[in-house]
Amino acid sequence: MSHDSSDIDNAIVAKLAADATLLSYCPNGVYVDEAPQGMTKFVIVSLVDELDTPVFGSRAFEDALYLIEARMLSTANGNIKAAAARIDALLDDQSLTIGSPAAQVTGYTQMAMFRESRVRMTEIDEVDPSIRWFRRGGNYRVVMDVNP
Amino acid sequence: MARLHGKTGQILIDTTPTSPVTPVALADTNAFTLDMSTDKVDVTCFGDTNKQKVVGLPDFTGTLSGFWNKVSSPTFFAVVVAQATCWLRLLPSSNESTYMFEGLAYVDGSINCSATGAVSFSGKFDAAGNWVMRP
Repeated sequence: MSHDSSDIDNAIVAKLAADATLLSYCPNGVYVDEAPQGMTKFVIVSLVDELDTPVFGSRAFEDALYLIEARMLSTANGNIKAAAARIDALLDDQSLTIGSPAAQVTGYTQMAMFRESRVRMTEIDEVDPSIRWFRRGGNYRVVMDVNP
Repeated sequence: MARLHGKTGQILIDTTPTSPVTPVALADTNAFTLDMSTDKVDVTCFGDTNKQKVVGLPDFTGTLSGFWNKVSSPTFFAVVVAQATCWLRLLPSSNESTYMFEGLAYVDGSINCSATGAVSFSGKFDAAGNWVMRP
């Protein structure tokens, strides 16, 4: 069966973007690596690290670590606490399914998805120090078995 | 002759090893070792200028490992639990499938389950009959 690692990234984004509660906190949406200019309340998904584990003759599973966090401009009056909690509720020990009806990522069987560590920081803009970005979320490990 | 990478290695097992044996691939395995060390007996005598030894028979013992798979791993552990013999065939490369070590074996097994990793298993084996290297 064919498999595409990017489909795992897409499934995470799709799962978060499909949640109305999370979007009520982060109405600008969910993006990989960077959001479009002008956005003030959004979620960023970044691949931090990934390791493929082989068995004889094939790849056994893909073990990826994603940094997933809500980002909010300090002046946007967002609820970053609730956004981070919602991300955790959606991902920690949950199923990574995509589409409707919910289906596993094509070519994979989920082994595990859980938060490995928490992330919370305030970023000061390099150009205008009066601008601050709140960032909160976590590092999530997603382990997917590659279907033979 | 090309050197080989171990990624195409293969472990095959026949849990009911009656002739002719029909070993099948054990899925989700990732390593094996085979130690064919021979016994060395010291026969050093007075007057020898260095130690001298004579060799006995070779041992055929080894290890194997992989990830737990509910379809194939129970096949292996059924032999372990039954303390029965099985036929093991070890291929350094499935791309050169005529080159192998094989023979009757006793197997031991263990499972490693951690909250932070994949469920894996490992095993040890000892010869239960005459092993051969082919071709």
